[in-house]
Amino acid sequence: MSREVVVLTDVKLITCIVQRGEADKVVKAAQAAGAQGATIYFARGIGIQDRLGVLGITINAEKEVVKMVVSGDQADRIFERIYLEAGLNIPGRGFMHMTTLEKAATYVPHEIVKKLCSHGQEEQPEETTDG
Amino acid sequence: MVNPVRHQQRMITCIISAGLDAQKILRGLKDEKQIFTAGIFHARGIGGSAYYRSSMAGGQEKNVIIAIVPAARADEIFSYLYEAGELYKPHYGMMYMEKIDRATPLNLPDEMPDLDALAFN
Repeated sequence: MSREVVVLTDVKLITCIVQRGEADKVVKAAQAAGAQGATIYFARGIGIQDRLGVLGITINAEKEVVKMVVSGDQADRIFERIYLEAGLNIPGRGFMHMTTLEKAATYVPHEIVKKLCSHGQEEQPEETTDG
Repeated sequence: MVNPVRHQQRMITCIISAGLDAQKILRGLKDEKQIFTAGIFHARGIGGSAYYRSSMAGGQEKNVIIAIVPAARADEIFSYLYEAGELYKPHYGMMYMEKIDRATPLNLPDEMPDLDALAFN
């Protein structure tokens, strides 16, 4: 049986790699800026410790990777908020990047799908008159 | 020499509830869809259902499945994982697909050991 998949487009993936224990701070900042949630997993980082010399011992090799799927219009705001809250301008604190997703899917309540569909139909005539 | 690097590939990431058997989904990808370039890791999820259900525990346990698939079959595999991960149910997780620039091919040897037997014995 094939079920209809409600696909979300114009979505971005923000990936943020921080020292272990910092992920919750990142998620809190993202949620304050409009993100719905995040997925977190552990990893090990290599590189920055050697570069920082003696200061390298203050860097935890254990990392947390935070991944968040956010809408395109909120992405820049969330990105900047995380950057400031996590202090990613300080060497060794972490790294983040954002990529464009082709599509995403999750459970979307019927009422919201209906609302989006009707919203799209209302907007369509405007587009044709403009064109 | 033919360049073995593949360009037309997609990466599908599927974050599912830890209650579901991710190994079974992976076996399904292998046996039913002949997708071998896939793997699983564990993560925790924050937000949505996790926020209400287990905020005391610091998040909800998740399994993450990553599969690299040919672009021509990406939609088919996307739908398959959507069904297998029961993502049509509320609070069961989410999935997304992204383009990847380059990928190396993965060729399995002709004579393969029984992977299932190795995994469970």
